[in-house]
Amino acid sequence: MNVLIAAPDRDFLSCYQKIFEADGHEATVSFDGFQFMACLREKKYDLVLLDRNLPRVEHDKLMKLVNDLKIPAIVLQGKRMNARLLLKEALADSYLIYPFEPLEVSEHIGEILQKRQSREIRMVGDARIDLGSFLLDDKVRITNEEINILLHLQRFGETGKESTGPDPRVLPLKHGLYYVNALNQKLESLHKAVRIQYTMNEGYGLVSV
Amino acid sequence: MSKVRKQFVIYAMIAVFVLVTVLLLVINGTNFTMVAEDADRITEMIAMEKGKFGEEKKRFPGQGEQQRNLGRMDAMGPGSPELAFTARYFTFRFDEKDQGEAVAYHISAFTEEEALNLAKQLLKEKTGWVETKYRYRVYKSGDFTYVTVVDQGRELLPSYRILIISVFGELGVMAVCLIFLIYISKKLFRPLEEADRKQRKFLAEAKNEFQIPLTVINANAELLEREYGSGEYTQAIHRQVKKMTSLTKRLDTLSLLEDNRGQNETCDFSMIVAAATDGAMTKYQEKDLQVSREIQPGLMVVGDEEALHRVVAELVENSLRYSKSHCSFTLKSEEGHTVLTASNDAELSESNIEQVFDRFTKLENALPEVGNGLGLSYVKDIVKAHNGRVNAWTEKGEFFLRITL
Repeated sequence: MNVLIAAPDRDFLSCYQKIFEADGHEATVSFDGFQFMACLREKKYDLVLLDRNLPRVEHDKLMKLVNDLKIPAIVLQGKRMNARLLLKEALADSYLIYPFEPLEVSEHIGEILQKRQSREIRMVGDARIDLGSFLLDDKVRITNEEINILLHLQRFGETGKESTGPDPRVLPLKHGLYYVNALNQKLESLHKAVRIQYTMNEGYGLVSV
Repeated sequence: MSKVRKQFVIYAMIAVFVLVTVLLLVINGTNFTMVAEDADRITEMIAMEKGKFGEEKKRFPGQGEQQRNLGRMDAMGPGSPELAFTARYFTFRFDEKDQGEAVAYHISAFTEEEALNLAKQLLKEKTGWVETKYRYRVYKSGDFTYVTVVDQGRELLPSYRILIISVFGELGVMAVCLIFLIYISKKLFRPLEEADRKQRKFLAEAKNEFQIPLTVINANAELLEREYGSGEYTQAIHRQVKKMTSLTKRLDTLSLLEDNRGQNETCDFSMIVAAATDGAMTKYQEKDLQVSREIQPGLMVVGDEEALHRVVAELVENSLRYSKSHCSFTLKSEEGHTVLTASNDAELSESNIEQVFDRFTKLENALPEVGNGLGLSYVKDIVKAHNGRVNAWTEKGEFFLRITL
């Protein structure tokens, strides 16, 4: 896998370049926006790790370029995740909040690439998820976490409470509340009937409105 | 205006209001009392003269210049040599059969008949006021009962004027005090507010400054392990990074308050509490903790949803950390407020209750390796930012924490 890592901290770039190379991948580093854009022009990448505060070029402009090139991207940021952020931006496949461990990074990458390469189309209620491009109804971008929530609820919501397996009341990630709120707003904007609803003592589930 | 500054101005104004009102009451109370005493002296003087000032009383010894040279206060009110000429009064005398006859009638506000009827009504009384300006006295002399009524209207007029002026004066003083307090408190509190703002900003920025270095330390520890294998030193690095990560996440709560100030929405607080406690059920089961929940559905709160979620998450984490065998969460509506009560059987003494909300304070039962004493202080900050209240207390070995929104 060819990875492009972009962050302003050189120590961070150095150690993660070594980690990726130790895992058998090719890793290129860039520490500012201009260098990042030059790297994207010169070579094709399978994945981009991009720090939100990369200097010299606006983050939105860099993300637009990454999206135009259809490269999976993970944004690294210190800002906590919330629904407002997810709705305002929604251009990355996933967001990692500092500080994180290398294992978290590889888990994220593994999940994203597996979905992207599957190019599957999944229906959750009347919402169409394109796993190859992380698009909802071919119009709205959704993140890896949001896809996981929808698929989790589809699987366990139908069978009700399971005595084995993950607790259906518990979303498969921490602070899932923010993703649920953002998802519901995206589904509403697409005029979909499916929604995520929380029921007291039963947990989260998919409902039709 | 900051909350503390506002409170200072309000309390100071209350103190000024109480002081000025007490002064006003004392001055006016004394004034009216003295008017009543003067009236009593006059009625007593008339009573001594059997209901009227005799002709001889209209001439004081040393009439003329000597009278004018009397001390000012002596020459005013009941002591005035002019009293016999200026007093407006009437006196009626009643026999055993309550038949009345006028002894003196020097007043125009009552006809003689009206005066007689009034005097008859007052026969059973002793002394007092009629229509707030006529002082009366009922007394016996020989076989007769005398009723004297004196018009004190002119004497009362200055007192009423003083009362009105003092009330307006008080309002004026309050207005001036308010302006002064607002101005002076701005100067007084500016350094405090600035220091508080800088502390918050520093804590919020400190979080940002720690984040990438912690990530780099973690990654380098991983590289070391890959090259040399996992060992005591790299394990220690991971533990400490975990601790620091937990601290940055709590500092994050502070920046949340700063960033989201003013971004309020109507949130389903019942859902937030239910979701947070639901999400921890597996952990409660792993720790063998009994959890009881009583959540009234549909309780809405206006505020920052993320911040409210953090509050509940913090209570859940605390219960996981410190409960010995059980914990409970109750959410209900009480007198128009949404009240969340969390309790557990953590050991906590009464003397430590005040400190649970202090920043960087861990009490004697705190696990040494876990937490940094910031959680409940942020709960308090967030709740206060939502105009709510937080209380903590212990009762029969149980620790209670109550949030009112």
